[in-house]
Amino acid sequence: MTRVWLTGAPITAEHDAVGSPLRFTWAGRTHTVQRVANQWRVDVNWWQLRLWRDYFKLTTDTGLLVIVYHDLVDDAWYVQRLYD
Amino acid sequence: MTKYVELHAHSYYSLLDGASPPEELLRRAAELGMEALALTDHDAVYGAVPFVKHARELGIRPILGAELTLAGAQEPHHLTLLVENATGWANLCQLITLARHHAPKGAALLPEALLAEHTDGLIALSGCRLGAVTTALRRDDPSSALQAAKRYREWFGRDHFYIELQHHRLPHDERLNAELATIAEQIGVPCVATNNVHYARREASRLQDVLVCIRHLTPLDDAAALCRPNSEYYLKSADEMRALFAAYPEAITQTRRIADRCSFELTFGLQELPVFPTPDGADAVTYLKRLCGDGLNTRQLTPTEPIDRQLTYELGVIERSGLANYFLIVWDIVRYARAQGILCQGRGSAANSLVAYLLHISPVNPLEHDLVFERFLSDERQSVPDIDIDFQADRREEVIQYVYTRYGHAHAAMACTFITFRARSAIRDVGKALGLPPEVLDRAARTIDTFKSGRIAEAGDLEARLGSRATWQQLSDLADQLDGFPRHLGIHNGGMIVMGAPLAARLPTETATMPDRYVVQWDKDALEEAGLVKIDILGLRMLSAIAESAQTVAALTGQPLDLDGLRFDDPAIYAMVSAADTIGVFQVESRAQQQVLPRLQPRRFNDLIVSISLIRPGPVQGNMVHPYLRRRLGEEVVSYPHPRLQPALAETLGVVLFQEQVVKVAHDLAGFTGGQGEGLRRALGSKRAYEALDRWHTAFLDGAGRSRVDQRLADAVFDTLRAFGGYSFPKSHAAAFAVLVYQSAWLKHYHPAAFYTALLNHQPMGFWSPAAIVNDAKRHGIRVLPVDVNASAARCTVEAGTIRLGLNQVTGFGDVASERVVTVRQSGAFQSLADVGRRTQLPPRLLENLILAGGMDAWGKTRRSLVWELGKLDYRPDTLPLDLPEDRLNLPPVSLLDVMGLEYELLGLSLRDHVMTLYRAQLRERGVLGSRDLDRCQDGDAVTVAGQILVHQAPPTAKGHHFITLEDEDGFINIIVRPDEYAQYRRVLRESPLQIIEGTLQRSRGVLNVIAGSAAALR
Repeated sequence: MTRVWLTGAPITAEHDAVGSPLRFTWAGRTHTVQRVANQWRVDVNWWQLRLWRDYFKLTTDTGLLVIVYHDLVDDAWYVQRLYD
Repeated sequence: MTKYVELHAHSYYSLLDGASPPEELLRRAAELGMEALALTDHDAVYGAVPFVKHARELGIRPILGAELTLAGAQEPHHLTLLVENATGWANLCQLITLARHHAPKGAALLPEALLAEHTDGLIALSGCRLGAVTTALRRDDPSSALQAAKRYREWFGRDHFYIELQHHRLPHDERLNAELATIAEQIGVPCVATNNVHYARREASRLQDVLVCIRHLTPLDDAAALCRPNSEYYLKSADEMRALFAAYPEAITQTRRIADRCSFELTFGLQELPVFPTPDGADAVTYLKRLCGDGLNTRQLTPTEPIDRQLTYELGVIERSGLANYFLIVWDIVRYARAQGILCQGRGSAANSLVAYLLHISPVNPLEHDLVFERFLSDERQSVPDIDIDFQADRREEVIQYVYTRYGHAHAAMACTFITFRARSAIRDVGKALGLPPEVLDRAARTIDTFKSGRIAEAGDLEARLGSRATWQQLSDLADQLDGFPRHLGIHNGGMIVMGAPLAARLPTETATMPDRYVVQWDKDALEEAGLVKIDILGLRMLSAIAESAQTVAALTGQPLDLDGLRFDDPAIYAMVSAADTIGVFQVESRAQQQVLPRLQPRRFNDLIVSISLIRPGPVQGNMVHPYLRRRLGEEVVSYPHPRLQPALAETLGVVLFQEQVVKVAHDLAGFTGGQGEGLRRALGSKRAYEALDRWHTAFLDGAGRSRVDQRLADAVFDTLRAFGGYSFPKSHAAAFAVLVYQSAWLKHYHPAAFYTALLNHQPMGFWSPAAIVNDAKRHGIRVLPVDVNASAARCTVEAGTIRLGLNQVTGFGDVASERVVTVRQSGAFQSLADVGRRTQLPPRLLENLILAGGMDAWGKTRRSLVWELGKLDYRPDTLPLDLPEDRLNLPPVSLLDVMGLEYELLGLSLRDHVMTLYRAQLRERGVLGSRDLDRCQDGDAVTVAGQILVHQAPPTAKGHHFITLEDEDGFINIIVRPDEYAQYRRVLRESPLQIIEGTLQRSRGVLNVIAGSAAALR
């Protein structure tokens, strides 16, 4: 099962100098990033509601495989997808 | 610290796939501290010249190149090419030419096999995601990728081929780059990083998306697959690139090494011209001298001391500039045209030259008109002067074909021109991309002034219909940015390049819409900047009309007309022009000219030169017209902003009218050299030269300051020059045109029937519609006979002093249809509508036009019944010619107004009494005046007038005033509508052809205007 949050579930995250997440807190629990498997940036839909985001597909020490994104418009972090 | 040079950048010259002009890329590169920058537009070097020019100004080394579209075994793919040296430039030009010639207009596709033959001097980078290597990797086909890379390495050589790495933060970039690096290692070539730049700054990615949508005719909402997924294709700093390519530091340092290898510089010059073959092997200068000697005879000039001195001087400059061969080439073209009976004459600055006059290139003797040879050519001036020649428009093609034949298709091509987005088209195109409804965009585009000034609230419900203020803001911002962007390529109106060496090795050519026409990839500004000589072979309809008039007169009288022999001194001609009786006369026929001529009262040839130069947007905007007129009429003292300006401005009473005077003023007040003055004049004339103009402004103030001229005064003089801008005529140009003013006025005065006929045959031209020309002819007592299927020739003709309208005047009747009627008629006159149909086989639509235009009135049937008959007629070739019995149907007659309406629609004119005669009785009763009545009115009288709208103008220089010319059966009524009144009566003025205007009469020196107070439709 994969769980998807269409608008993203808010998290708090710490990141390194180039913007890659190091650890994040989600629903009261902190997850440390083990490996970023892939990352990409989108900047689309500007004529309606701009989606300017850095996406990270990563694994954590807590055993999660998730896609989180950094919203560059409002400088906030979200979980978008959780792979069970 | 590692430096980075961007080696893969697209400008807006990638046409709808690049959102920054080259200068913007360069400015950004300068801010980022880049030492060099490459321009690699798609299959083109359109931007090469402005790129090199701005790069040099900014101290950045320009690298030229292109991204080529190739066709091989797979789908079309890209390859980035950079020019290393002159051989590389020649090869790039040939490759682009080949690519363009292997694809339909506007596209390019180079067969890979041809690439292999032209790789010397070029550095190849393996390309973007659409490159052959990367495409194969994206397909998970590493062996094809390797093969492609090896192929390029073979073709370009190990030292000239690089694997191109790009990183746009897309999901697979890291993996692709790793695979590409492996291939580079396998084949032993280095990697190089580029960013495939499509805009200078991130913000412009939106414009880039819009351009993509325009290119694909798709709204943004449906363009996700076409647009790039993010905004990372901007010009990035060395730091940003280093961070992205942290795993490949060598790929960053490599950019600098490649840049250092590219040492090619663009230079062109006269040596590019073909060598004109002189008789007896004489050198060009000797032969040119001989031709000038002949010219003294043919121009009937006695070689006086001033003429001798000028000729020796000009020939000296020409010899030292190496231009003798160029003159011979131009002379040869003119000679050919004359030998074919094609009228032609030089325009522009060439008319400053006595040599050009003696070679019959230009029509005026510069010594008689105080023209300045240095404006055309001087020892200081480095660039080659353009020689522009007007040919009669209907035969210009013969001249172009002559040049092709003489020098060969490989050596001759036309200059291109860039069709650019204008404010209106930008609004429509951006709006479509944003998905806005067309009718809303039409409204926005029509009310563009309101729209652009941000006063959208004034445009009624427009804001609501645009959806939201944010949408409007987006539309407005993007359209603003797009204004002036090149959209596609066109053929320049006559500029031809001829070269001794094959063109393809010097600059690329591509196919044009016209068959057998090729255009070079540079426009006229680029060609001039690069020092390439262009010969302008222009078409002028007035020359066609003059030529035809002369032929008609010669045919009617049996005597050839010697227009070249006219002495420009006939008082009758000046009287006619002074009375503003100038409809149809070249250059002085417009409403604005007609308003000024009675005040200007031209009495000699120089006055015609002034008139042409005066009534132009430049002088009007610069507020030159009224001061000049007041001074000419003695109402104002002739004064000069500074005594030092008297020599330059005396001939125009202290007012700047001629371009030549800009140069003189800059010299006399600010100490500019001739070359600097010319530079200033060019900056004044360029729409985008704000920065250059600022520099000239500073230099002007400095120069004036050095010679102790008051700064405020110097500033005021500079403002005057600025306002005068680039709209001005050079005096030499005006002088050449004044010859045509005189000739056309002379024809109108002495051979009016022939002249009006020729004017009608060469429409559209000039300011007035055919209806106005016909009415003018009638006012001059010339009968105009209607179109008649049995009497009209294909074109308008003169029959015993009257004009017979030709079949070509009927809507839809081009040369082919008209000629067919005439040819078929040779076997006997048409007897009936059915006879016309059967014998001509013209489509019913054209026959209906002919009927409604009155072309079959001679048979005594009403037009309506003929149209009815046409509806039932089957005249296809396989039907029997049976005449069906006539209907007994009684069709009600059509009203005269309707008949006239149809005539206007189908002929553009009506030969009946003027439409206003139908209303005259009614108008008299209401106290409405006609044009003739106004002559008896006084300045300031309240008047009501009526007429048919002939012209409606709102020139941008008039600050919201509208000028309307009404016509009635006796003449014209000039209306001026002020902005407030226009706002109130806009709708009725725009929608009703017949108007009643209440207002105040303004009378000033024989010129009458009615200042409108109200307007209403006449019904």
